[in-house]
Amino acid sequence: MPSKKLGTPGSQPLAVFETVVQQKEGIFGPLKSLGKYGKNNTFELEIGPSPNNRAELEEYASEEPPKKEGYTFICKGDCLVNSLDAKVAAYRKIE
Amino acid sequence: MRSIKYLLMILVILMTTSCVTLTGFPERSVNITKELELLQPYLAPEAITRYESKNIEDRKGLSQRAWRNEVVNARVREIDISFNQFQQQLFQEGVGSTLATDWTVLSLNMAGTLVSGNWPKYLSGASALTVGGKASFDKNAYFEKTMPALLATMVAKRKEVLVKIWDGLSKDIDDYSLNFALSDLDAYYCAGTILGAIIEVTETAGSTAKKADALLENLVIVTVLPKDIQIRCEKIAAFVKSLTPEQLDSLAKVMKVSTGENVMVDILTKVGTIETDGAVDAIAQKIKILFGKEF
Repeated sequence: MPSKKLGTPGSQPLAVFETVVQQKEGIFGPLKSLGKYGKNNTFELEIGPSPNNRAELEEYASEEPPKKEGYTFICKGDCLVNSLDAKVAAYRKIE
Repeated sequence: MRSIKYLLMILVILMTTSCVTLTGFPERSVNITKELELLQPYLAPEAITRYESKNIEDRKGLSQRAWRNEVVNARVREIDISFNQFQQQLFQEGVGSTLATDWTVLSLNMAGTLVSGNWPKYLSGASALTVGGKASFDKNAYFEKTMPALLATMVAKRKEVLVKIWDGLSKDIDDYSLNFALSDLDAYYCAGTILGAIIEVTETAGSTAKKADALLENLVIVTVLPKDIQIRCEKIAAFVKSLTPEQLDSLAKVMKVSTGENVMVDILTKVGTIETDGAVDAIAQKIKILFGKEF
């Protein structure tokens, strides 16, 4: 399955990062992975039908991302939130 | 005064003897000198002349290909023997013993100063011992940290070249002549040198940096789009995903995107990086002309 990796500035708050990911899921397809490269966050999208429920991003402090009732876990990554290192998990609401 | 002298002597004896008990390499029963003597006919320059000779008897009745393989295998063995000796030398003359030696030399100097009874030199001797000892430690600590990494690089690179040589030996002489093999043997030897390892480490670091740069150059940076533009882009993207490969190719041509395996990803990237109404209009117009669909 082809995919596309995009970047977005790591200086953004989590809500803006989330909106960017959701918008690009609407163009390319579902989110596959999260990460960072230099001063940017990176995210990879699988080329395919865009999901109805877009990915929701959350910061977590524990070793592993917590489970979320009514959501499926998509991926996790070491990212930047407001230019600071942060562990971010992505979830999708179950339809 | 006498007790100081005895103390120093004991210290020197301890330093000169304490680091030699562990060699790190077990004794071998193979006679290396004898083995090298046996390899000599294949190591001598005449081995190349014999390879070229039209008289098969010059090659002990062997074909050119078989002779090439004999020569190459012998030279690989010779390089291996040298490399093993080099490794042992590095270990034996490496960190442990050099540190001990440096400290010993410095201690002997200090002891000499004390024994001669030249007290004004005592202080400078003590100072040299301290400063010299520290410099020796710094130098050898770096050596200790770096050398295992360089040795690991040498071993890995040598394996890489050896695989190439073995692969070559399975080929006919038209595809892998002795001259080619000799060039690979040079590379095999160089891979087992400190300079070769440093070059390899530098090249690897350079290529990793280049890969990182390439990723950075190809990474498209996107930000939040105004809602109306986003809605239009999503509709166009959904339409693009429904196109056949032939339709995708025609759209790629008018959008000046390269056709081929990644054509859909490339078109979507164009759509996904739109930032203005004008850019949406431009793509929408091309789709309207090609497929009669309005966005």
